[in-house]
Amino acid sequence: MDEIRVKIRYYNLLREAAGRSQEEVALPGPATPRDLLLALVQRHGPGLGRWFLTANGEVSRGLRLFVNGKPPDRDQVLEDGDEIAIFMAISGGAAKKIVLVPNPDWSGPTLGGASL
Amino acid sequence: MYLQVDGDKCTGCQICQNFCALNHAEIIAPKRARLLLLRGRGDEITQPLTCQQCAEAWCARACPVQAIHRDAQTGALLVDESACTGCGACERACPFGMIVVNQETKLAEKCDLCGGDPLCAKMCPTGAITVVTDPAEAQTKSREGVTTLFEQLPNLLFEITGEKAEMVAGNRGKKKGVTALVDKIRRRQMARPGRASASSPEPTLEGFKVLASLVAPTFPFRYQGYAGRYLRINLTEYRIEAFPLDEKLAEEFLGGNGIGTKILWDEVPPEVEPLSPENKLIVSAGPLAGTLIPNGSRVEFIAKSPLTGIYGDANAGGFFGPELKMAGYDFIICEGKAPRPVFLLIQDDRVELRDALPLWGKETLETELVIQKACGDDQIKVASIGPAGENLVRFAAINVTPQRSAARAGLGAVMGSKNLKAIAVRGTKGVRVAKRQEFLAFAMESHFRLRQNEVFPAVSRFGTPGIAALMNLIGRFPTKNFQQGHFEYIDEIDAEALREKFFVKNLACFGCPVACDKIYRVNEGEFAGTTVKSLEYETLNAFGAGVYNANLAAIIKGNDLADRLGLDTISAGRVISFAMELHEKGLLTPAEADGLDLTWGNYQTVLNLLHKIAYRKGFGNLLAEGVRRAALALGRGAEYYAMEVKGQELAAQDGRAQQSMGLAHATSSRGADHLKAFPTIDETGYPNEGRRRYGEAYLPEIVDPLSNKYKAFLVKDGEDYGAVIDSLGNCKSGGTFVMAEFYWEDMARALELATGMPVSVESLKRAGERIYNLQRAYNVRHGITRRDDTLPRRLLTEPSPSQRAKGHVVRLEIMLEEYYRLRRWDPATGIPTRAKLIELGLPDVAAALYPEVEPIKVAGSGVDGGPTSAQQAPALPGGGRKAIGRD
Repeated sequence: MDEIRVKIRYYNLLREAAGRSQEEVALPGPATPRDLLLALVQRHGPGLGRWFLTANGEVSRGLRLFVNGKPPDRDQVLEDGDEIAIFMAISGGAAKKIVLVPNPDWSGPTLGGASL
Repeated sequence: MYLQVDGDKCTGCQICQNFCALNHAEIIAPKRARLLLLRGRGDEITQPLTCQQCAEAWCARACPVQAIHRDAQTGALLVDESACTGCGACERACPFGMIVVNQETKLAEKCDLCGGDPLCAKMCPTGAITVVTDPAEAQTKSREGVTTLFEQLPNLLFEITGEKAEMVAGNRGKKKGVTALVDKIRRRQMARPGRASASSPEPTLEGFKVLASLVAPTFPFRYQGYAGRYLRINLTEYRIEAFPLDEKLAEEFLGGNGIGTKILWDEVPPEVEPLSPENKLIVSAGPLAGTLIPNGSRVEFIAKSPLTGIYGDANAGGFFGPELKMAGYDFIICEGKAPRPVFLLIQDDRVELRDALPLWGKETLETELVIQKACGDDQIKVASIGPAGENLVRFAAINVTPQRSAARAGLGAVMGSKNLKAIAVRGTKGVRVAKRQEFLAFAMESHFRLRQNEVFPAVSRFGTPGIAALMNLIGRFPTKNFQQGHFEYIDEIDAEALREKFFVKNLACFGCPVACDKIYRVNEGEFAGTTVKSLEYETLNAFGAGVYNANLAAIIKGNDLADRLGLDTISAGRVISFAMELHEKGLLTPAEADGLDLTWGNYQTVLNLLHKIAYRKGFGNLLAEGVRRAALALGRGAEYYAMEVKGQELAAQDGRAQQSMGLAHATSSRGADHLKAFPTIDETGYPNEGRRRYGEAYLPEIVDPLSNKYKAFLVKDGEDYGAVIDSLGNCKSGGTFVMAEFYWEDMARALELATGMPVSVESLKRAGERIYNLQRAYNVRHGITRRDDTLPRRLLTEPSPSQRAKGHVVRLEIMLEEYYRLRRWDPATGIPTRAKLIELGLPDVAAALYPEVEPIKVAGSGVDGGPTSAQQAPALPGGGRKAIGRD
């Protein structure tokens, strides 16, 4: 498939991590947003990668990507000339539920055993 | 092990101190912590100071009974309680002020490294306190930090207290100087437990004559978290009274916003003019204010709004709310009008009304500093008005330590109309929680959850300005008075530019790990030297895109100016963009605008107008009335360009790009406002959170900003939840809305653990709905109906030209219909039905709105079941309607 060229615009933490506000990227088509992210990680290294991907290689849930001003559809395929905005979410969002295991023996005054 | 501190990373949040105090002293109070937090130079310096567990321990050496020994495992110096006699030799010996004799127990208290897992380090969100194993490393870093600090700033504390001379004269040699200084700070901040009043020495406050004073009695209260006491200040008669908090009031209306709403309903009826002595200002903390549930830093101000003539409230973070609670008050009712300028000074139980003539005319930040100096206490928190409030500008703000604004609804003018220049509070009593152990565990879990939230890194780094570029991306960033939703020069004023060019330091509110606040400084150019705190997204828009200004330094200057003058930046920006558009459309002559150049983007004009508005000079006098009144006065079709709802100017959300925000602005109980419903999960689409909160069935529409579907539900739920958050004293940026981490179940649990009050998700939802319905009912009594729940015609008829929103208007009617249905309000009138009011346990409200219908008895009780009419929270003493009505 032919190569496609897309225009990337970085926002907030990603602008700092990529060291630039925008760039143009060529990648082999057909390409999904995930393909693009992997290509960008390859290009910019772990500085950007740590925001894009989780430790087990999944796309970080806090990463937001817009294609031509809107969130991509589930089966989105990028096209030549697409404008991509990438940023870390700055509203909404939830952490994974953290389970607190209180130490049944704990009776203060110190927190000794409470583990998180 | 040793604690190492790094002041450069400290945000001044006091999380370390308060977790320490709760763990060791069973109370949330910085003064009971076993470490100190030093602040200086307008919070640009924040530095923790911890016990060094010195190798050559002076405390242990000084102890005559060898009660201090080193723990073999942790290396902590521990006090043997069976041996300690409380003689205080250790306290005198320690050069860092890190061991104190508790006057109640007569035992020395110091850092014990929490038995090997120091809570201060564990909970510090920034790594300003860390655990190291090498004592040299710890001590070098910590001592260097402190020593350098004092070398640079020998007057760290004394810059405010004016004691610098004494310090310099009284101490020779650096080390001794540091020791003496730390000792003073410790005495001030840590004020030993057991003392009756722990605040600073009796202030003389020369020039601020006492007009009335009271040593307030304390009252027992059933629930923790609350102070159990409130103040009623009659300014007309210089009368100060303290009353016990009513249990029912707490159960039904929670605190903060809810209690304020109830008091307004009971005591400020429709015939009262907002700027008359009969209006009342309620200053109210919530039960979670001053606790460690992130982020319980807020304070609510409630009164009838001079801008809208209906229900009004404003909210601010910082430290004022917690301080009020720690002084032992849940809220203050200010009523009447002082014959001359006064300020209210609260130092724990001691409450005074003092002459404020020397303060009148001063700007807010100067007022704060003068009061702190006069009291000799840099820890005093102040809520004050500037010239705008004094001159009754209808969108005057109340400025709160440190440079936070309770800005909306013009409540600064209410203070001004009462000749009440400021409220200054110092509280050392602390806050107790009901189920300490569980609360501590839950608070810790909450902090960890927040810190792991996906949105945390960006919000923490950029604060609210961080959304500017993204809102521009989706066409939601009002530009040129809402002519468009994107700003061509966004790169010049966005958070990224702000951070790169002007960032100085992260600054947190009380107990907040996010620290979305920053200090920014302009270092060069025409605004060089301008330093500002709390520069928010809204102000970037109001003084930036809104007026088509791309000069970021000028926005910073405008923000600082507005804060000092005491103006709401949102409304101020909108009245100016309104004038600029009138100029553009040829509807305003230069002569009418005092010859000012009203061309888009002229920031000198913006700054000039801020002065003119605050002092009501010339054209500024017209704009000081707000856009609705100004447009009415001008006629000539100007009202089309007045971007307001119910008289209040629109905040920076173009509803054409986010439909839920369009609805939110239309239905908000205080006039145009994003913060009542605060829909955030559909800003840039957040399916994960949409799924977690509402379930798969609502996706994808509920997170699609351009869809109308389910937005009525999103807005109603947000309004009810928001009413609860504003009532508890929590923050909408610190975990509940912007970071949508905590939801109903979390807040119900937090409230129950903190207060001991039985709370369920259902009961909390009902409380939120009750509060919001009461605000609506209040507005209905002031003539508000469905026809007022609308938006400026521009947003309903002019399709957006911007980004993905291009071609969209706000499709308000279809969302409104659904909204009334969900609220069970009459869709024809927008008035809450009688059945809904009864169901919410508001029979007196139902009777007031439906006087022709016979009252009925209702079953149920308290927060859980809804009170019967007999059980409903009664009106408060001294607040009877008879007091109202002008002679």
